[in-house]
Amino acid sequence: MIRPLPFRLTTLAGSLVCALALSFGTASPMLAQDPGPLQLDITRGVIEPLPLAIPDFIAETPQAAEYAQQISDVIAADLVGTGLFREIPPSAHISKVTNFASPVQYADWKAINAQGLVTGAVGTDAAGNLVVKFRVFDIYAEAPLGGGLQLGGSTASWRRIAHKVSDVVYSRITGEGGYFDSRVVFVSETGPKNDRKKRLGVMDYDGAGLQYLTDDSYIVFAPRFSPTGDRVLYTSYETGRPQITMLDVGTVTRTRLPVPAEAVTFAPRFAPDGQSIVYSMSTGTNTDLYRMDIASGQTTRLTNTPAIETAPSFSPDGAQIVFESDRSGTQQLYIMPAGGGEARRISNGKGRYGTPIWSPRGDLIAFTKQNEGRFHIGVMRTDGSEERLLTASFLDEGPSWAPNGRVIMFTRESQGAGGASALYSVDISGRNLKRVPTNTGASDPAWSPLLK
Amino acid sequence: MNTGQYISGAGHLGLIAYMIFGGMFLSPKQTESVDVQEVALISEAEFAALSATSTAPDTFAEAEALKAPVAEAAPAPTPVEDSTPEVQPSDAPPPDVPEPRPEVNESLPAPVNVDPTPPSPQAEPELSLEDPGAGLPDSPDRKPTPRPVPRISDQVVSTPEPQPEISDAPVEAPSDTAESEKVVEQTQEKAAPQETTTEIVTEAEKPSGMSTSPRPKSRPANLAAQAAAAQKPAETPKPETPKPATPKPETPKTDPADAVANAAAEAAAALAAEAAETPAAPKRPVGPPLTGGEREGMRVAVSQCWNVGAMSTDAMRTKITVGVAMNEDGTPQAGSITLLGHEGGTDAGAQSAFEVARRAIIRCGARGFPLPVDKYDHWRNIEMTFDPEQMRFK
Repeated sequence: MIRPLPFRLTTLAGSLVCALALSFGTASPMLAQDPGPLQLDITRGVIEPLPLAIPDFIAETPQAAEYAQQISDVIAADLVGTGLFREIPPSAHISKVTNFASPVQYADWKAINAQGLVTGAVGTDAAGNLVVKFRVFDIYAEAPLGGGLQLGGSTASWRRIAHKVSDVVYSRITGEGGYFDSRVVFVSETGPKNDRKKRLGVMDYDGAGLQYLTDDSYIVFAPRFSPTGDRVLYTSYETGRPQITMLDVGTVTRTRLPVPAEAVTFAPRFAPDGQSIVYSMSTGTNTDLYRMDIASGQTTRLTNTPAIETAPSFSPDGAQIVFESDRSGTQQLYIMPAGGGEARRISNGKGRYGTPIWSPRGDLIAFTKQNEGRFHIGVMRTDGSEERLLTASFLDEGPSWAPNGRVIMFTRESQGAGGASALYSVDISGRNLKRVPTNTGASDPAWSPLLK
Repeated sequence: MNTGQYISGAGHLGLIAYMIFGGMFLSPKQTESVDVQEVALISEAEFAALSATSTAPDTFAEAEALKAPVAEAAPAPTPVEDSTPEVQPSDAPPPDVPEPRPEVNESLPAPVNVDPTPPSPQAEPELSLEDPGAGLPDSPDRKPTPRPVPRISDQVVSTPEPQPEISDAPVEAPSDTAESEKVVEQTQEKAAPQETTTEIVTEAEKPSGMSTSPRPKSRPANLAAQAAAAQKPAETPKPETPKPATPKPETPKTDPADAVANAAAEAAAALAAEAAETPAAPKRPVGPPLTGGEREGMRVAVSQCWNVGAMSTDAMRTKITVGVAMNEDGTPQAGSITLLGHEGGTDAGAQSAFEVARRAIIRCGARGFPLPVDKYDHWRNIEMTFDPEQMRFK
């Protein structure tokens, strides 16, 4: 019992030194006269809509009066529709904004818990065009968020002006781009399920300003906007078999693409440069992916397997293509270089995956998933990780990204013989699921980029 | 000497054996107890009662909203036209719940319905930190989805009172449950919500709720560093050390050997000197440090206003440190709030995150944070680290 003693003593001494050193390490600030700043870690917050006050825009001329209120209403609807904001009703406002130039009474807005304030004025210029000025304020910082802005346009385009204001307000408050001044091309559906009439429609993202691009004499499906929003690719049965077609939105003129007349072609999508397209072509029983240069009509075969490859979608940088293939036995998602070549599988969960589409931000891929008899819209990172399902229903399919990569629009079809399809949108957090108003049945939405 | 080692060895072996086998014998008990928790005894009648009550509020919620005006319309002198349209919708909604509402929206291409859209402030409290996936209370958007259902089922679970009102549709249900009320209530906590969600709510709630629930707080990797940052709570977690540490002279008292004392004193002096270098000391007495509860109160106060809902994805990846100077009344000096630094994300993301953090500090500090005035020197300046990692949906 002699030898262990010094050993114990040394360990005791060592541990005591350690303990003391530790205690001084942690407690040393207390010994100082000034304790220094208090350190706090905030890791939990709340998620709730940000209260915004959007008083009616001021009409600076009598002609502008009818637009002033409509514009502020559209702005409020845009912002509240994101689910990120809620509008404080004008009846609760304490100080009334009567002059665009007058200073903001921050205390009055704080009193009603407004965290943001949008003020604006609508006037008309000599040519009769609308001129909209607006400012965004951070009430608690008691400062404007960015400078005032002025937008102009014809009275007919007042909705677009309002959407543009919303885009600016959205991006100033959240720090990321908006998606309000954008359009959606979709397939309008009427008639019973067994004899459904389909035609291409294009409308504002919020369902306003609907125009039809085709008549209902033949079936069309899966329209896709070009990166500039001026052209639409879709698949049409006009010739009796599915063939990809390009349509100029402005002039509503159709262009058949130079594909073999006997081939079945579908699922077209533009490359990010708008110069080429990628699509599926079936010859015999096999379906593979092809790429075509629009100007020259030259085609390149991208895949060559006995399996079915379809639903190609480019990455925003144009370097890669994500697509669905049943080469493993079930539908799964794969990514390959844009010129073709080795594909790697990215979907690894249970069930079948289809209709992938790359987010405009490049960080996520949205897809349709079918599992245990239910359909889901989901997103995953481009390496297949962090898969999250955002929706579930009898039939959800065909996701399309909003220009800012934060919202997804898709088709939801209800069950039964009388089932109809409708467009829905959902935030990538899975929140704010809502129906996009259309006055007919609607499917296959494709979101345009932000309009210029 | 050897015998001592043998004895020690035997003792240790015995202890090890006890730990191994004792553990083995103990473990079945634990699993049994878990099993007991999982078992939920529901008779068929009870189950029927459950499902009946769960469906009952569905129709009840629809019917109540619509019927109230009808009942008023009948006796009141208001024109008959009002009552008839009211009746028609009351017929329509029950067959297909999600469809009719959006139709109304459709008919108005211009989204003029601004006034109804902002949910009243009462809706806010429903948002909880725990389930961001449960979503925001913007009522018009929710209408087409089956979202209202889970809320209603919650009400049923918590309050069995509405039964007299439910009576119009399923009369049997309440009568069945009336006698076994308590039992149903207990089992509902586990069984009923699942039933309602799988059957009715799947459309919107199930996936989003599951996939967006914030991750549980992970054990911080750098405990030591955090302990150092949390100067005051250091007292409590380390009972052995701080007592001798706080007053300098006490340190020698505890040491058993001179060598130890010297080493300790050296280490302490070095560390104290190191720490004393940083603050520019105003020479006046400083009160006792803030207690853990006071710090927690402050943390919660800021958290309540830290609304990450409208933050950009970029900002949600950015951890920022914000400095603020405080007034003695507990209010922040708005002009002093500065961004001290950020980790991850971009500068734009940090700026955007800073604006959100600043809003939180000013908004919740408007009436003064709950901080003890006598310890003002401890919170004259505050550095807050806002880390949205746990709030990010994964």
